[in-house]
Amino acid sequence: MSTPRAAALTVRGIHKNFGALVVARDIGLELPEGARHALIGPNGAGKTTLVNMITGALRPDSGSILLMGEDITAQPPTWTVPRGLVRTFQITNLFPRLRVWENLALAVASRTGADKNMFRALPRQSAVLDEVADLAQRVNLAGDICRQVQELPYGRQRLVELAMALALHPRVLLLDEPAAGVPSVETGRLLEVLQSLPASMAILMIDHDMDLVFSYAQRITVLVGGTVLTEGTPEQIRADERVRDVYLGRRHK
Amino acid sequence: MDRLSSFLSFVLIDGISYGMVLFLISVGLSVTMGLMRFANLAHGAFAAIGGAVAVSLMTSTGLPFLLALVVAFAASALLGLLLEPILYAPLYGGDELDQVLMTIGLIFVAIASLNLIFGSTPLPMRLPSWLAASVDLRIRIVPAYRIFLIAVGALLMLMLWLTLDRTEFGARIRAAVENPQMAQAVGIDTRHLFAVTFMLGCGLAGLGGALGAQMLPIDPVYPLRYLATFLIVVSIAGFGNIKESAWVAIMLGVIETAGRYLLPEIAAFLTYLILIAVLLWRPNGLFSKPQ
Amino acid sequence: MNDVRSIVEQQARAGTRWRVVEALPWLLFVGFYFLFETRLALGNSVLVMVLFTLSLDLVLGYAGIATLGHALFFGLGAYTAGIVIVAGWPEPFSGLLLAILVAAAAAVITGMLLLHLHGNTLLMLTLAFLVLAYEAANKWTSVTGGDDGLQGVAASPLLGVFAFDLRGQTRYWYALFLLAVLFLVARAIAASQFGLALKGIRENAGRMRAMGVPVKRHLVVIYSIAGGMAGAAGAISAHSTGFVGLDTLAIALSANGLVMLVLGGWGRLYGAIVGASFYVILQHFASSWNPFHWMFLVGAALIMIVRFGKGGLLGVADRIRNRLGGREGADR
Repeated sequence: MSTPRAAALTVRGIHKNFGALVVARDIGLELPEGARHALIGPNGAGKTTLVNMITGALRPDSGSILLMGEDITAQPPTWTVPRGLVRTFQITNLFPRLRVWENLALAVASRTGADKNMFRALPRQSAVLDEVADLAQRVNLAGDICRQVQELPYGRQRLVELAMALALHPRVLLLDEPAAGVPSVETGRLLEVLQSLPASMAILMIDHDMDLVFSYAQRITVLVGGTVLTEGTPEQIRADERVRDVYLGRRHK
Repeated sequence: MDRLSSFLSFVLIDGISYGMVLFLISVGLSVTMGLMRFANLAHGAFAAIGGAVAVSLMTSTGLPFLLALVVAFAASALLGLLLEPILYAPLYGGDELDQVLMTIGLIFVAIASLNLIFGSTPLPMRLPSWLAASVDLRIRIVPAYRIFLIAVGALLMLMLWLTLDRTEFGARIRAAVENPQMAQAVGIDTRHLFAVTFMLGCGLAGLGGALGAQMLPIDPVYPLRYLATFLIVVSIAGFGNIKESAWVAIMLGVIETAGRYLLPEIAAFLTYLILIAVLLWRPNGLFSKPQ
Repeated sequence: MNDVRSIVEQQARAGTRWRVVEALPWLLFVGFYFLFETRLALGNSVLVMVLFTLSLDLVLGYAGIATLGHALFFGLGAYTAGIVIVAGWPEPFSGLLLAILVAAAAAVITGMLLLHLHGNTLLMLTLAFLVLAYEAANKWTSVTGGDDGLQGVAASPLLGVFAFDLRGQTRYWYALFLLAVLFLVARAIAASQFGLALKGIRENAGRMRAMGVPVKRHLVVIYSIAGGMAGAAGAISAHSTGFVGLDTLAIALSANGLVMLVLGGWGRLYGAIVGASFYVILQHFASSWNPFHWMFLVGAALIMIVRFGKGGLLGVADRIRNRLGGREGADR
């Protein structure tokens, strides 16, 4: 362990154009270990695009992204996921016809490399099955593990989405609108799980639900039109005139 | 020099005329794949059926060639109009495998039907005397048929260009190919558009089948035999790139003709090798915009 | 906690354990030998096509690779086995092994070139490679016999004792034995974590990639294994019939494979067995009638299946079973 300790995630000077359309201009932010950081902004501000660039799904035109001090700019997920960079998706992106336990098993096995194993039958992959059971309990999905994902109500699907991210043992977790589309009766469970996440994990959350954001985040970055408008603590952001202008009449999703 | 100009003129005239036929048949496939994003493997069947109807009418009733071409277009267009809502429309936007399987089923049905109606030997195609005659072009003597093909092909290309560029119909096609969701959002009735373009594409295929019946003889296995060729023309041009598919078809016609002349043994093999190499280099086609 | 864990294990077992009903096809195959001694050539064809369709199931049913060119590996296997014998090395097992290696090598190469692509482009290119091989075999007459095919592929007796004779006994057991062995391999793969990963790739390749899974590498692996299996089927066919023709590299063979697989039901291995068996036997009887009529029926059936009968014959069997037993929908 070297000192000074590198931040969990550092984003510096990210630029991206699609032709004449500028989707990112000089974006920077820094997540120390254990961060609880939120990224907010109106639709089309470029939040998901930024997450895509961090995870390597999209290549920035310039700038750099560092994970624990290591340069991961434009590296693919085969490189970054084993190093602890994990994301969830805004639109649930699961394996609909497979059962919940299979979805979880896929995530666990991809982390441990058990998915390369062609010769041991699934029931005998004890380590994988252990973790699947453990994860299901943690997110309170134990009752649903036998069901096909497409049969679950949307809120529980979001839990599966989260569980799969956790299965990959993230050190930096990017949550793209974890509560999106979840009916308010089901957000409780989701929140419980989010609160219970380990303190050492750095978390970047994108969401429009301001109650969730203000109660969960310690720092908030406001993204508008592809650039950072401002960054600060929830109180500072709440008090900021410019932020209120941007969200004129839109405090909730 | 004489040999060279003779060779070049041969390759160009035969190659371009062959390419024109390929283009006419393939343009419908290009539109279907670019517009409806549907791999219509059975497309060759429409060419075969239109061609078969025309050719057999010519033989049995002495129908004039030019009229037979119109009949070919109409027959295939009608078939396309009938089949599109029943077989194709339910699968739009669906699983690709379903589309592949359905069109394979259709190929089988088409082959069996062609055999049932027209017999299993290639349909004899007798050109009218004014086409069978030869034209003296000073560099070489050329069958009038070939000149006719090039002329008709060029005329149809021009008509297609004008339709695409100058009419509202063409604009709608171009818009829907480039961005289907946006097109729908802007109010373009994609259902109607698909049905009409499919019908026209089938009609053109039938026309191409009849026009080219001397070069590509029509027999029951026609839909399978030339499947790869049509698919490749369309793939290299990029799905939905109608103008580009004309150039690719012509180029392919010329290359294949030259190959058959210079290296008859390995011509077909080399052609496919080149096409594979091109597609591997540019999987979305030579002329596609990056997605 | 133990509760959940044991439920998970139970679920895992349910998908992979050996069921009594699995013995049925094998009993039927063995029974066929004793009941239909005069039709062993037909039986051999069935077994060869079952193996071919099985390999296609691994590629398409499990990994979701939509290919029109799977016949490439069958043909390569058949021609390799044939050429080796005609060139002076008639021992069948070594020929078989070489055929598997050649087919698998071709699968590795084409897989690495193609398997990052998908959709229509992938379909075109798999088709293009098949047609390329067809053209090569067509013109390279000195080696392949061209249009006439490779004649006189007379393999020497198996293990020095069992001759490939006209009665067809040797070829039937040869095919059945190899089918059984390769089936066990396929089943083991399907029941493993790798098999689940393939299903994951089929269901949502993007998510697999986002989780850091080397998707293309997995696909190339299964493509190569399946290619080798298809090559084995080709070699068995060559050894059994004594002949290799261009039809082993025809688009029609790829198309027929798809039909057989869809007919039986993809993604469950036994669908390949059921579909191929039905198809080959029906085709045998229908072809004495009129091959084009048969084609019409198959085409129409395929169109019907796509519109209405998802899951093929096994899917229908499932639905009947569910209606009778009131159980949950089948695993995929």
